[in-house]
Amino acid sequence: MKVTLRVWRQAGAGGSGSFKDYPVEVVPEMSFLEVLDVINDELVAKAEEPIAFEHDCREGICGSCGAMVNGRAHGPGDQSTLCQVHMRQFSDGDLIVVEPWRAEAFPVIKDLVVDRASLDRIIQAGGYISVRTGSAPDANALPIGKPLADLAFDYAACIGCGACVAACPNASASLFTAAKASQLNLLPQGQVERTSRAIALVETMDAEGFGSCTNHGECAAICPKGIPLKAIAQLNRDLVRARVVGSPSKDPS
Amino acid sequence: MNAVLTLYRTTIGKKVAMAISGAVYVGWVLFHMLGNLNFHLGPQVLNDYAHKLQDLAPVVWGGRALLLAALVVHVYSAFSLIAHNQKARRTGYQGPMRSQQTNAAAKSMRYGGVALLLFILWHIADLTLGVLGPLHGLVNFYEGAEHGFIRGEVYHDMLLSFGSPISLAIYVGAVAALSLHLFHGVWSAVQTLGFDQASTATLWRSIAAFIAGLVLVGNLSFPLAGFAYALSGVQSQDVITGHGVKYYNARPIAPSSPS
Ligand code: SF4
Ligand code: FES
Repeated sequence: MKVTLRVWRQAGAGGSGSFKDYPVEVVPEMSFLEVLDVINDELVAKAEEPIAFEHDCREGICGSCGAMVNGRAHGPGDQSTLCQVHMRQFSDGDLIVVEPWRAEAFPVIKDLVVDRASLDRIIQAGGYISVRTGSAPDANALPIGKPLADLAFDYAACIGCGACVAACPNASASLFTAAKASQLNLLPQGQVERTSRAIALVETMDAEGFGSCTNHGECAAICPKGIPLKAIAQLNRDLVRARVVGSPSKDPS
Repeated sequence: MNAVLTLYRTTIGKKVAMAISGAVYVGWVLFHMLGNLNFHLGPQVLNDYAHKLQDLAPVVWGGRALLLAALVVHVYSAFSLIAHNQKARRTGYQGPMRSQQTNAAAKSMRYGGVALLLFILWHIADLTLGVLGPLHGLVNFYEGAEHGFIRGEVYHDMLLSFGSPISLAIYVGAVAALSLHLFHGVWSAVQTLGFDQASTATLWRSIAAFIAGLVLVGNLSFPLAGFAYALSGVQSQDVITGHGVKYYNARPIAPSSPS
């Protein structure tokens, strides 16, 4: 089958860019990233600049890849990363528009690659727990109910791909921030910093220039890890509790 | 207080403020609608209800102060969040961007909000201050439109307003906008306040839809009925207190009497 990729090309950060068409012969079994590889091989052979795109695991677990494909973050497919999209999800003759995530907090570095360090800074602000170091504690010393453990684990599944930000009409990182806060806030080990974590994460999210949530639900609809919208409700609740009920002495600000 | 202010500094804090001030308005809208449903019980009942309400001046003015405060908080927070969100994506998608989940109600919140703000001004000018009488007089199917606005004659004043096709269209549009605003707003407020968990998510969606539907049907019922009465030629002497035999009210009326 033959498709045409219309890819955003941008030489560097801050510069302007434009779409460029790349007709390419593919087979249905090829993954989306393999198609980009094929195009890049041809570009290199012609001594042209290959398309820059992020990838690592190519099995949907690292969170490196991602682009807006035909207006949908990570392309077609339910709960899937871009690397898990295959050509069988398209038809012969399709025009496929590929564009980087767009958000002020995600400046384009080159072509399809954006700088997502803003997400890292949100985690740095409070996405950790303080524990006594030493030998590993006994696994059964701290019983945690199965439903709670499962929920915390579901939130921990966030791979930081940034698709939630990309798909949000407000470029909000609420789903990401909520997942990172709740994976710890729900567990006993996360209680010590629960108050300061909620505040620090939210204030950093705001300061990084992400938008605020207006409950469109776009993020949860495309999240490759199926993080649910109720994560954001949990974050809201934790922040209000932290500010209104939480003890000010634990307040970092 | 400090806690509230530092909470308000964050985007989530502003959303919480919008949720709470919005809840004040949901309560008010439902109360206002229930009161106005008296319209269907005739001039006597509606006017009596209105007069009883007016007699509770401290409550009325307390309510108005609360509503004004809630409005200021709601509108200020909305504009400040919109400004923040617009800065979050200065360069939009150059190719297509297809939404997967959102609906017209969610997308129209800010425009519907501005429309409702303008409507509040119109509504106060119309039925509280009563300064739109001459405007309503331009085209009006209500036979008593010539009397203009009469303070205290609530039933008559409503017919005066709903008898005008222009005014009717404004009310119908505003009620539709309000219903749409509540459909997203009620659910969104619950989510923002952090009540919405998996088991209750669909429940709250349904409750929001129910409130939106109730507000739509209830608040459309009196403008439409009023217009229908006006069209069918309801006699003003049957409506205006003291002129009709049917409905008697001891309160004196100020303006001209069509002897
Ligand atoms: S919440 Fe989902 S969409 Fe957002 S960064 Fe995490 S995995 Fe990606
Ligand atoms: S490359 Fe690792 S998730 Fe796609």
